Amino acid sequence: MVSNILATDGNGLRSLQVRKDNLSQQNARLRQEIVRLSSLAALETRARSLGFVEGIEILSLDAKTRVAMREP
Amino acid sequence: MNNKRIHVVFGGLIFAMLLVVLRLFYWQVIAAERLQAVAESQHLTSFEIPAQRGEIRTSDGFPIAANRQSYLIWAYTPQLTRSGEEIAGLLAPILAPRKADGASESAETEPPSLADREEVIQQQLNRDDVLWMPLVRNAEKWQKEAVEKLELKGIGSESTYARDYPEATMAASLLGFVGSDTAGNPKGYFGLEGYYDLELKGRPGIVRHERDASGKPILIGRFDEIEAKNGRTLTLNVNRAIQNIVERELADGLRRYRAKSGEVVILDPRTGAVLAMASLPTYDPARFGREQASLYRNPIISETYEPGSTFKVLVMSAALDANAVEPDTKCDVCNGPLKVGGYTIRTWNNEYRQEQSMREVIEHSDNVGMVFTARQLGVEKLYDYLERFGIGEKTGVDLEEEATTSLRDPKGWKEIDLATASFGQGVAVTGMQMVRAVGAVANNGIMMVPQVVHSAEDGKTRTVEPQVARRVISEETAREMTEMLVNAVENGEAKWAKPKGYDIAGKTGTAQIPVAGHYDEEKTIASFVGFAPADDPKFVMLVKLREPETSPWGSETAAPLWFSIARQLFTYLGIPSSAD
Repeated sequence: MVSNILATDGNGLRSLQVRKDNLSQQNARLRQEIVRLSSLAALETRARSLGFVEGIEILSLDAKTRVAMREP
Repeated sequence: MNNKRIHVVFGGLIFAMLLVVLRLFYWQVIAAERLQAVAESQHLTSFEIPAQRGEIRTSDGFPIAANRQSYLIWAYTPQLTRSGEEIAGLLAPILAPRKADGASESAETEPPSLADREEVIQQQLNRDDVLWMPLVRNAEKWQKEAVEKLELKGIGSESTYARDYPEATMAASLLGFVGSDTAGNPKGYFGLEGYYDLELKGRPGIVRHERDASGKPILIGRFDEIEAKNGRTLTLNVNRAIQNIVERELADGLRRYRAKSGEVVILDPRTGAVLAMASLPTYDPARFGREQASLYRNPIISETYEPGSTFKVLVMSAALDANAVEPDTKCDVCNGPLKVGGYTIRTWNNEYRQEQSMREVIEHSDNVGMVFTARQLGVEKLYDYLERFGIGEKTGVDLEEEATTSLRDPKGWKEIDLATASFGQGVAVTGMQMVRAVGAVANNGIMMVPQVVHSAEDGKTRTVEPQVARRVISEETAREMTEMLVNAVENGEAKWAKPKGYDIAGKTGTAQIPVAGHYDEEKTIASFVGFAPADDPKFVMLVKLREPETSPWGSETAAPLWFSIARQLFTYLGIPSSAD
């Protein structure tokens, strides 16, 4: 009897397989979205829209350069 | 009489039994395998699990070549209930703008028209040599859903993966692309996709299980599975930020100097790691079928050119190493043009300096001084050193389409051949050979094998260790040559563009382009090769521009572009300036 029940329980197995496939596909789509949003072109566009601009002047600091002075 | 009847009946029975036995023998022995297969196909269902192609990642772990979900639309002709013409008419508008499988993958500029697509699909459906056929690969989800809505019997779809390049055209000539082989299976071509195709493609799996009359799986029935083995993921030495800097600067440089094409390659001279490699114009590997096929090959490893004055680095290194000259050796023929075998050798600006040292010969890029140097060295020794520098042999870089031009047999060299080779004419190198050879000077005389891939991963990570090609020159020679190259940058023609506060060792080159047995007067290949910081090199870089129009000289085009890229590398790599 158990065998009969198990033998005809294909519906449950199929629905599990479909669910697994859907989750895998969703996972793949989300990963694809992360990659798309973290591409340099996407990051540059987003940075520009937030008002960032490219650095033009580069200042190197060393021990001799004073970056702040204490008030006397 | 009765006995005769009995014998006839008995004989008939024996014959009938014999027939039964023969039939059983046929079913159970001769046709057993075929019948078993038919029976299994009636109660077993099997499907392929596609293997995911391995990703290609830049050194920061970003997948520069990845996979995206896509669909294969197929047809099974025995189940078709409509005519091929009718089905093609319904499918073609949905499957636009893609080509149906079987259409040529040759380069084209526009997608095929609707009528063409209909015709191709119809031709596929009317084939009588196959029952199942793929109609379109790499279809999008909406296309698959639209096809399903048509409810066409005999037309189906299955999930698969398509190659995706999230950074679009970045490093395209380095990556290559994924097309199809003759059986329609994905196959990598050119660059990394071609070279590492076996590692990347993996192996598809198969699942077989018993099904009931309605096609649903039987839980306690037979179940066989061969797991799919995904392809290996490759992590590159290529740095995405440096690659981006290089491509942006190269595009600017091509516009600024109105050059026809350009190439930049950067190596770490200590390990041979390829940090960036770019060539323009380029193409989109995801849409390779719509691009010119001539763009597929990576010119840095597949195109040879006459290097011009950058070659003087190798000739002078050879002469120093062989003790044929010293940095302070005076050139006693440099006071004017030099006659060699019926030809006259001149300097690039027709200016001549009496008794100049080898250091000054490199500083002024003096052709006559280089002829003097090469004569001191001799053909045999020069040839030997050029071989040691890897001229004429493949560098061994892990990319598919590497080519080389062999050096001519030294026995056939005439006096003029030695003279012209001393300043980089009459010899052919690839960009990769040139940058690797100068990398040996930067790496204390030891030449490395250039490597694009850093590691491969398939559960466990396998790191590719740096490979030494050979020692080319002594440490002492490398140091002397570096000093001469620093002097050339500080006092040479390109000094106006050099970033302040950095010691850069480098050499400009301007080579005429040989056309049909003579040199074109107008067209040049301008280049600059060098490394920095000179005392502890972090990178060696070659910049090469083909036919710049604003100026033919390397010192006015390739050199400023080299310095412009180097400035950004100093900031990115955190190399401080001594001028601050």
